[in-house]
Amino acid sequence: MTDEQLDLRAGAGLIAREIRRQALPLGLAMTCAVIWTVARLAIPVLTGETIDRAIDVPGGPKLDLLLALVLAVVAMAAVQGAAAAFRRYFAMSTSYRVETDLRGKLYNRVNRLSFDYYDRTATGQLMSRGSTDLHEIQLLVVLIPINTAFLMMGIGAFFLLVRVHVGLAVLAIGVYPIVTAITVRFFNKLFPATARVQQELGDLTNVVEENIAGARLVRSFGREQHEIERLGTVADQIYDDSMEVARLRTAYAPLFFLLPALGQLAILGYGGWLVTEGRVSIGEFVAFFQFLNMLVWPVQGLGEMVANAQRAATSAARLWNVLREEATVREAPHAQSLPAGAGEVEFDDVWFSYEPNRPVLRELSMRVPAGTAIALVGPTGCGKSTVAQLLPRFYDVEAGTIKIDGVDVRDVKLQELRRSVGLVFEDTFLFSDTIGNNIAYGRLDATDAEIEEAAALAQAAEFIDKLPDGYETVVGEQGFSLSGGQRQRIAIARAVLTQPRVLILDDATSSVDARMEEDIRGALQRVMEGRTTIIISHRLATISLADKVVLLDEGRVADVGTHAELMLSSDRYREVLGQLAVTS
Amino acid sequence: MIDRSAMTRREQEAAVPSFSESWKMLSPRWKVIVVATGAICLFAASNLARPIVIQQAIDKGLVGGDTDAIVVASILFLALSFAGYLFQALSIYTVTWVGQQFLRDLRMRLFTHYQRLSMSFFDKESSGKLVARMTADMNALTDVLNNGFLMVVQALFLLIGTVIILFVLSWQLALISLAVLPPLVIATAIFRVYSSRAYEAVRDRIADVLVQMQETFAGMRVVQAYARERHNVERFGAVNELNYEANLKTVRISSMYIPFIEWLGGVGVGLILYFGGRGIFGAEVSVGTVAAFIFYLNFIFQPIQQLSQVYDMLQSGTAALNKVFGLLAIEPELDAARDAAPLARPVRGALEFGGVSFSYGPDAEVLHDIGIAIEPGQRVALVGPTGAGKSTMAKLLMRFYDPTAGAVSLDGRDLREVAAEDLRQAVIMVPQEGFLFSGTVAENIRFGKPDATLDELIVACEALGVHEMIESLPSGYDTRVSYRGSRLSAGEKQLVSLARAFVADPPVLILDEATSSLDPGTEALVEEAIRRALAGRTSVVIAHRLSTAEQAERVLVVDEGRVIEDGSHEELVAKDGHYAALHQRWTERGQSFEAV
Repeated sequence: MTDEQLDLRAGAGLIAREIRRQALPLGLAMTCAVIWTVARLAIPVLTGETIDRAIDVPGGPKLDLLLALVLAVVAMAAVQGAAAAFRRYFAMSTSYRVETDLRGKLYNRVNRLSFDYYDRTATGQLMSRGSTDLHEIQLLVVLIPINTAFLMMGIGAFFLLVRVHVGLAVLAIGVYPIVTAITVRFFNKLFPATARVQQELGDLTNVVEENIAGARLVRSFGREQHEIERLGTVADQIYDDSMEVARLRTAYAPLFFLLPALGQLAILGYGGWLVTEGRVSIGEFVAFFQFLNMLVWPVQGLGEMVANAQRAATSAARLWNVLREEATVREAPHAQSLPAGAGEVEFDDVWFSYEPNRPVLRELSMRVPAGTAIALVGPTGCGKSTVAQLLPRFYDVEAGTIKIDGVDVRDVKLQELRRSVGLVFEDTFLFSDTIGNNIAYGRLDATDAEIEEAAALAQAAEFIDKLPDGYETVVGEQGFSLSGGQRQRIAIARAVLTQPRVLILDDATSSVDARMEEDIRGALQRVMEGRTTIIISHRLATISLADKVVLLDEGRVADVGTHAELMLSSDRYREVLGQLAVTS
Repeated sequence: MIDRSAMTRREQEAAVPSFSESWKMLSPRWKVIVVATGAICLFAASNLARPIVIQQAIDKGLVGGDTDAIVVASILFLALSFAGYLFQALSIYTVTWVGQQFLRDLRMRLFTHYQRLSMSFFDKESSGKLVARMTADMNALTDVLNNGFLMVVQALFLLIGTVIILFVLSWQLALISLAVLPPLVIATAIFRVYSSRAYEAVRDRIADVLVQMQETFAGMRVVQAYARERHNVERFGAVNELNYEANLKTVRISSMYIPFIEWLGGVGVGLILYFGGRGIFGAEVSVGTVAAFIFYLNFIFQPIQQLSQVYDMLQSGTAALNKVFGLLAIEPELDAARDAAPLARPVRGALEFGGVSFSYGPDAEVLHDIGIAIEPGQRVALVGPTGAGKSTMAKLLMRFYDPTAGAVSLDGRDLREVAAEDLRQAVIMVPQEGFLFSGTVAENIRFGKPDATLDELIVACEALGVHEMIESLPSGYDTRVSYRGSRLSAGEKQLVSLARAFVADPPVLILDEATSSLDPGTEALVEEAIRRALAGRTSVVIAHRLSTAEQAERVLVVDEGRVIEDGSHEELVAKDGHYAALHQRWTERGQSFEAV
């Protein structure tokens, strides 16, 4: 994440494009901002006029004029309020629109990318693009019209002051650019410090989670005191850095109070003297104070926006890095439908590597006749799982071809290809949804009866029926926790329901115990009947389901034959299965 | 044992003492708290005083033409500004200092409490809840401590001070201008209700968005394998849009509130100008007073809006405090007996279940009257179906629980009378899945013997046969791992976990063998490491593999909470009983036999 190349200009461009798309509401927000500014400035002016013309006049207050001016103040306040509301509405809704649109784009893009991208990108990284980074951008968009209004107000107030008295105006407003500059400095210092605290709070969460999940171990080894000290270190760090934040706030925040006060002091002293000299009226004097009060927030806001804009550009640059990614596996322009067939699979001279010059598969050739099952067996890292992932084109081969029913997989419509290959992964991933919906994941139109049938085939029906809400039981991270074997059976049901032409079981029975494996064996036998199946396993019981065994070694086919044949003829096969043989 | 309903009751009971408990933690720093409170009040006071200075300058200096009064006012104003600056700085620093000290103490207290609680507590409480006490609740408290306290004191002081000053300046004008107060309070209260409801909806909606993003990104392989991209994009579009709508609702609500408040401010200025200008109830009001009233108007509007913000903060802070102290009020169930005494050294490792029965809850007894003696140095394998009571027996040996009847003893001493520390050194358990703490591999292994040097670790790992595996990791012994997602395979984790126990070199080792199969290469390593780790000490292994049972000197077949067969592997196979049948299927079927 840290060594990511960030193109700030591209980030700014991304924000600019999004803003341009929202030109109308943003324009309306700006218009409201102008109206708001005028009304806001009018109130102190009217207040000053009221004092000078209706109250502080020789011969006592002029009541008619007083009432008229006061009603004007109230009316202006109404205009100001309405304009503020519309400005806020347009600004906020635009910013949320931009955030929502960008999040949609991010999601779409990630969905369209290929496996190589997921291999090198952590989920957490993508999540922070979709939350923290988008939030920074949203904040900037909201600040634009609001700060435009503030800026206009500042300039307007300055001109009104200049009209009264140039020297006084410069003296009173002079401190404000300093306030803006200090605000930028403050936020630029504050942000890394608060980010550090956030990081450490994350560390603290890790220690706590670990100690709850590993409570037995900590007790077992009697290491409670050590763990308490470990947490103490993190808690002390949080304390130290929180105090660093406090020191920054202590140093800067009171300045935002003091500097405007110095401007007011200028009005009080110099302006007061000017009043006694008769060059400024009392009403104007009071109005000056109101102007200055009004400007405290805007100048701070301006500084905040500058600091925020820098962060938003960085965030947008990070987002841009995801949005500009292109899928490496793409559908050919003239992709065809998969012709009818029984699912014959052929690998012809296939080369593949994840990293340059480190081939995982080398001229691998094999044929799986339609409706038969083969088992891929080999030591860790021999390329078994890679074979499984090449068939549905999660990656493209470097050389050679892979064909289903005689057609190169690269010439087939991508969605159709993937729908025709059912894959059960080693690590079963269930979504936080009902069991029924998890099973129907690959076929949204499946009826309840079909879902139950698939569950029954995968030997999952029995335990699902026993769950509190049956097929409606919500599983996944936030839901009911299932055992590894139960999850795997749901994953098998999910694959079965799609009626795939080719079924791939990638270590799909690894966390199922022996009796269950026996049950699943029965289920798999039925599922595999007449269907091309590729089994990846190192369990004898599962391997024996296959018609043939392909022994892979260092990315090549080392031997092919039935289990019995290989046991007799291949030393390497016996060696790979050696440990199993010893124990059984 | 505390059941769930008792737990919630305890949480409720703790609602009252949580404040006094907090005060107990805060009171040693009472001096700083007094300084902080004083600083906040003085800062607010300096704010309150400035309009009076301006009023005096206007009435005496500007209207009265007394230039000295302007000079005096300017000096006073400057002094007040600097005083305000200093007191604000002081209040920010002291308030944060007290707050952060309190938080650090509370974090440590809670974590220490977690370390003291019995294992039975962790079996019952969801880990998410326990983590939340330490994270979300602490964050809620941080808000209150950093900002809430400061804002409440300041807002109340400003509000009350302003009202008093206004009445002193001119009670007539005060009565008139404070007419804006009731609509302000009512509107703010109504706004708070609607807006907190709307923000709650936003929190739910954004959670939906994040969950779907998280799941899709984490499960991208499944998504693409089942060609669900298009459907997902549609579904996400809907969720994303709902979040937008929820956000928009908060904007709409504030769009009704804000104009009213701004208009009310204008009405306030209007009232002051009109009645101040024409005089009221026959009283003359000076120009300076009119100006001061207009300035003070801000001190009425700001605090009320602030207080409404703080209200939500305080509510969630109080809730968090109650939850945390509710948890702290729970006592650990297992305490060492008062007469707990050290074990005689060296520990021989003789274990005995003397008529032990055990139940987790009031009804279901899981172990029935188990009487087993294990001699020092004996290698015992526990065999039997899931739920037979094997793990419970192991947990009793660790004294994670106490038996409901009978006694578990080590070297003839009831575990309840053994000092906890001695027991921990004598009996160590290796859990089923290799569990890694975040840190380096070396740190994980050293967990068993904190003072071990790297050389000692290497010697131990060589003896166990795992040294080469560790050396082959990206940074060898310094490879960083964590309990969530590390690059180590399941087998490698188990090896590290075994090394950890081996380094501790306990007289008694309890091992829960992994059920899932590893790839053959690692499997052989793990089996060999287990064999070496068990050599020369008393061991109890919950066996899932035939080879493990075969290598044991003694096999106990457990079924439905009883030991139904007891003997060596050969004896039991010859006996033609339960174990023999098991063994039969085992050799036919494969290696794992957990649920047979």
